[in-house]
Parts: sequence; C-alpha cells; structure tokens
Amino acid sequence: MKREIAIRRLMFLWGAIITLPILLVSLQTVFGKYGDDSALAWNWLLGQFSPPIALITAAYFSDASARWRNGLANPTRWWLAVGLSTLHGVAILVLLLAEPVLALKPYVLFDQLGLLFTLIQGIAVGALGAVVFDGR
Amino acid sequence: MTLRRPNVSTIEHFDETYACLHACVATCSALRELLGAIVTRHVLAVLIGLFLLVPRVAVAQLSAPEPMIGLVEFDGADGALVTAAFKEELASWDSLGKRRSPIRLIERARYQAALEKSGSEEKAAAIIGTELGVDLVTIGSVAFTVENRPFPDRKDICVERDEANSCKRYETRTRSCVETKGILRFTVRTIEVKSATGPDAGIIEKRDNYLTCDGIVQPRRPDFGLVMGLFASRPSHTGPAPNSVDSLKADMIGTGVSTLLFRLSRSSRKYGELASISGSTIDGNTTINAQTAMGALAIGMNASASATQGAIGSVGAGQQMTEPPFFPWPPPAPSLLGEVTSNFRIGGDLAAINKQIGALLNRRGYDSLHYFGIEGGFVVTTDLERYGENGRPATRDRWLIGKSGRARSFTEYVGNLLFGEKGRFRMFAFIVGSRDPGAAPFIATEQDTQRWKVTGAVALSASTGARPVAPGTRVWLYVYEFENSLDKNSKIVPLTDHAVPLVAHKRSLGLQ
Repeated sequence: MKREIAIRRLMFLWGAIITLPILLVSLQTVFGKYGDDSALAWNWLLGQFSPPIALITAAYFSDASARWRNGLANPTRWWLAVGLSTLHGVAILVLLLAEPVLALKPYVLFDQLGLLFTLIQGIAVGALGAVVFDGR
Repeated sequence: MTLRRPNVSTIEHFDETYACLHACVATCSALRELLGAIVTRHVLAVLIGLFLLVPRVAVAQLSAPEPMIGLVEFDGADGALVTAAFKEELASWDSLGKRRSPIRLIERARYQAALEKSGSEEKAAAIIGTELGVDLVTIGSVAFTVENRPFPDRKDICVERDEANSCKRYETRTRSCVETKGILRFTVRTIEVKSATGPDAGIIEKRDNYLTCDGIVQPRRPDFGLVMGLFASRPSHTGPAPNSVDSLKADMIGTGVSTLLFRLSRSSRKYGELASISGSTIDGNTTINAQTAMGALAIGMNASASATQGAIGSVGAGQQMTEPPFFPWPPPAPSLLGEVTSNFRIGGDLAAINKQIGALLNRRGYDSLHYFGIEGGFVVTTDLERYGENGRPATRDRWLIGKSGRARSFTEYVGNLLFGEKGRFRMFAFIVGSRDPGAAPFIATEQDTQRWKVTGAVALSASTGARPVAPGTRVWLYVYEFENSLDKNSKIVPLTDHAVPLVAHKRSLGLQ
C-alpha cells in the first residue's frame, strides 16, 4: 500500500473513531448529563483525541514528495497504527458507554483511568508517527 | 579541456534534496494554514463560548440568594461610636448604588435579652437569627486603647541665617517626643443560625499613630484611602481636632468599619463553605459545640412563645441542653409534610408514641433510627433510602445513596447514558410535639442529612420517654426528597419536582 493511501486511510479511521464519542458527549451535554460540569467531560475527551488527530491531520494535509507518497508503507507499522488507533478509540467509546452501568460518577472514571488512557494514547500516537515519519 | 557530464547519481541526489526541501516548505506552509484555520476556529469558539457563558454566569450570580448576616451592635466602651459608623457606612452603601448590603444591624438590647433567657451566645444568636430571618449572626466587641511612648529625638535646627535667609549654622538639639499609638481591636464571632454553631471567630486589629515633639503635634500622613479618594464619603478631618487622640480614633473606626464590612460581606458570599464546614466536622469540639447548642433553637421557640405564655422560666434550660441531640427548629423546609396523628394512639407518655412509630418503621425495614429532642416531644428520622416513582422503597440498592449504576431495561440504560441517572431518595422525619413545627425558610441539604445521621441518638432517652404526653400533642410526617446530583462534587441534591404525592409516601409506610 502506498504511503499516501495509508495516511488517507488512517485519517478516515480517526474520523470514524472520533465521530461517535463526540456525538455522544455532545448529546449528553445538551441533555444535561454532566450538570454544570460538562467542561470536565469535554476536557477529557479532547485531551484524548487532540494529539493523534493533530498528527494525522498535519500528515494528510502536508505536501509530501512524490517519492515519499508513492513509496510503500511498512505493513507492520501500518497495521500497528491501525490496531492501536482502534484500540484507543474503542477504549474511549467503551468507557463512555459503560459509565451508566458503573457505580462511579463519570468524573471519577476520567480521573482514575487518566493514567491508563494517557498510556494508550501515547502508544497509539507513537505508532501513527512511525507511519507518518517513515522515510520522510 | 573537456566538460565532464555530471553523473546520474549526482543528478538524482540533487533532485532528491530539492524534492525534500520542497516538501518541507510545502509542509510548513500547509501546517501554517492549518494552524491558522484551527486558531481562528478556536478563537471563534472561545468568543462564542464567552458570549454564551458570561450572561449565564451573571444571571446565576444575580439570581443566587445571598445569605443575610445579622450584626449585633458592638459591645465595649466604643461600641456606640462603632455602631454609628456602621450605620453611616451601611447608609452610604445603599446611597452609592452598590449592591444591597447583606448585613442587618441588630439592637444590642435585643441580643442581651435573648442571651439572658438562653444562657449562651449560640442560643441567643439562634433565637434572634430565626426571628429576623438571617442566616448568620455576628457578635462582637470593640476596644480602642492608646499607648504613649516617650522617646528623645535628635534634630538639626538652624541657629544662624545669612542675608538671603539661608541657614549658615546648624546645631543638633535633643527634643522630647511622644509617640501616641492607637489600637482598635474588633473581636468578632459568627454563628450559623441553622446549626447554632460558631464556625468563624477572630480578631481584627488596626494600629495607627502620631508624634508630638516638644508639645507640637507632628502632622500625620493621610492614609492611602484618603490620598486616592477611595473613601471620599468619609469626612477626613471634620469633628475632632486633627492630629489628636479623638481624630486618630475617628479615623481608625472609619477604616476599621470598612474593613469589617468587607470581611463580613465576603464571609456572607462564602456562606456555603461555612455551612459545609460546620456540617462536616461533627467530631471533637464541634460536636460539643453543637450539642451544647442542642436545645438552642428549641429554647428559641420557647423564647418566642414566652411573649404570649410567659412560660420560659418553667423550661429547664440545662435540662434541655443535656437532653437528646439537636434538631433545627423550625425544621428545614421539607419536600412534603402532613399530619399523621390519627394513625397513632396519643396518650400516656412519649415512650408509648415512640413505640408505635418504631414498630411501624421496623415493619417497613427501617432498622436505623435517629432521635432528637424538641420542646415537649421528640423527632425521629430514618436513613436516606432510594424509592421508586410509586413511592415504594426500591427493591435493589435501597440504602445505596448516589449513583447505583444499574439499569433495568435498555430504555433506562439509554436514559442514564444521555440524561444521567435520576435516582430518587427520601428521608422521613416524624415530629411528635404539642406545637405546630412549621418549616424554616431554607431546605435541607446533603450536609443536613449526614449531620442528622451522625448526631441523632440511637434511641429515645429514658427521661424524654417518661414525660407525659402534653395536651394537643400531634404527630407530623416530614418527607425530605433528594435526587442524584449530576455535578462533580455532591451525591444528592434536594428534589423539587414533587412527582410523588404525600399520599404515596404515607401508603408506603402503611399510614392512612
């Protein structure tokens, strides 16, 4: 797979990953799920998505050389990036969907799982970086 | 001479380098555009957010009821002067178009009368505060003292001048000076009317001085406020002669009153914190304090009743104070209330009524009851419990307060996902007494429920139980309803929709 296509697919993947959580938290905010503290939910969600989205967006919109664009993406790095991005997205979605059946308030979950999610995010961003900067 | 053609690898290398540089420039350019777009969007989002948020915050600030403070006229030799300054300052507060002052002055004589009847500051504050409808009562005294400190001072004085009146010769002379130091000390204590405890106490001290050397008063520097014209409403040196003890005192009282009003006003805005402090620290001294003040509000009720009945002297204050724990009187406004006297046999002693109430509650699974003493009766409260929309106790997680994390159906799950879990909780209070309890103008909070749970006695005391039932004794049911709080910092908040009628609550208890 060409690197250009690989980046485009990662871009679409992340677009799909963020859609549901953002839609869900938007609805929750509108319906008052977080009371007066909806900013805390948004802080957490955007903190999760901003780094990978910023990286992949910059890679997608930048003008790479024809040699790089037409070069083949390393399959291992590509699948790792896809897998870890999916894992990160699924973890966020699962947390948001599982919160109603947990006895803890969402804010407590955001705080207590912050370390784990930062770790997943860091690895996912690293895997994305390995595709984006490979051969540049 | 022959020209050497560049070999192919050099050209490829050049192309590669050029392409790389081109890619870098293009990337930078794209990133700059992207960042520009993002920044513009963020700035727009922030501006829109501010546009939406600022009026909301302003409305919330303006609509939030501000707790009122009752300030008892100051005691002490200079109390009258300070009170006059307070009245002047409060009048100027209104006339200058500032927001309405949250402070009301209370006549000293009125407080003294309550103090004599009740025997303690907390009780007197609770009595007066309840009568006047204020949330906090500040009591204090003021003392102005003067210290004179003589000291020798060396100063160069001109002893010979030339024709142009310039000094030709100086001599250093010793002169005798006195530093007159004024100390104004406010000793204040703020008592929360609702709980009859004093969470805030302290001393505010102001010092100022002037010098008198060889009988001549040195000019005092004007204070900062006068320089800036910030206290223009306060006359600077009218009345007492400038640079005298009287002037010093007048100025210090003026600035002291401003400081005190500012602090009291600030503590009024922080009232929620004060209430939570007194509500959460239920051990140690605070408990003793609260229990000493136990009967304060009950005695407060006696005090107001005494005007018509003349019966205050017949109530043993000490007996009331050492009796069962404190229940605020009148009780905080419940969600629902009703009389349930007809469900019980009224007669004999209070223990007989308690036995009937206890049996009723035990049958319904309320095995943890909390008892409080009131005048001529008692109050028994249950623990907070979760209940359903039909008024019946929840079958699962009945005693789990806050979020349960359970959904019985997919619809309920979706509701909890989008709207948050809306559990309903309630606490019953049976009030047995001969007086109509009414309701205070404030509602019970999460802190109140926690406090009652901890401070209530586990059983009715023998002395209270042995008291004969007074004529006209009735039984009242108070229902305090709460729901899950969706905010970060509280478990439950008072419920205001009253979707479940009193009759449903009574039915769940087996009452008619």
